[in-house]
Amino acid sequence: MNRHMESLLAKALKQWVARHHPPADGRERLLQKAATPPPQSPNKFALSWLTGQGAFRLDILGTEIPRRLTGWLYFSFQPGYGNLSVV
Amino acid sequence: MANDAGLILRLQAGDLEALGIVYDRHKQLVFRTALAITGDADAAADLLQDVFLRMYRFICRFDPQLPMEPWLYRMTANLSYTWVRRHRWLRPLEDVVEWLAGDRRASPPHMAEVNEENRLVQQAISALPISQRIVVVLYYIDDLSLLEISEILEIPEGTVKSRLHYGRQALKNRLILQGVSLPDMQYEFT
Repeated sequence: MNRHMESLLAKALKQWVARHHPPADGRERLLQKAATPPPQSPNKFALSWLTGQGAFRLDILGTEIPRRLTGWLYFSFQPGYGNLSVV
Repeated sequence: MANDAGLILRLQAGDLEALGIVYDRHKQLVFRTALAITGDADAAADLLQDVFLRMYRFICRFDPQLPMEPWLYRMTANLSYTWVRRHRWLRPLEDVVEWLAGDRRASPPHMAEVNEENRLVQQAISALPISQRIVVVLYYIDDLSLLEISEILEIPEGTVKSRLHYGRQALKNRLILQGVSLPDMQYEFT
């Protein structure tokens, strides 16, 4: 590609970009966003055992553990369930 | 008129008016770069907001003695790169939608608005690999030198050169294949 053709290509590219303009309300939107404080991302890992948030919650006082234990016991003693004596 | 160093100091003091001045001064630079890399005017408008918002959030890390443009170019290129990578799986879908909308676009009112050659140029740019696309955009649209591009993208100058070489070869081949008559291009081959 020689210089002449390069300049033509650059001209075509600039013509394409020049057809578009930034939005007219961009400044107002930006200043509005900048004025509001950024959202704080929660640290889900640290202290999660104490605060009981996120995926690391230990549900001691809830019904999760007894419910699961009961379900496990119930299905363990069902005939033909888990011991392959289905027939 | 305040210079960039003064504006950075004002921004560091939390002056929102300074952000507006910086935005007005550099919005074209950021918008056209984002537009050329993403090929999507809506995405470019969103990235324009993101770049200046990030600049405002992280202004405490700015050195007022350094020029602002290289940072803006780098941030625009990085955010555009991320956008393109996230949306690359949408591209085939957009092509199908465009193909389906072809008849509507071909109607006379739309023909007046849509410049076919510009669309083909945009498609040719979008077809380049993202690494080549960024270099081509910074070189041809933003008129940056090879050294400036290598500093902005933090890659060796030789890498910039090779990406530019392969990028423009691909552009040239694609545009000739599509029959785009760049102004006076036909005289090149006669």
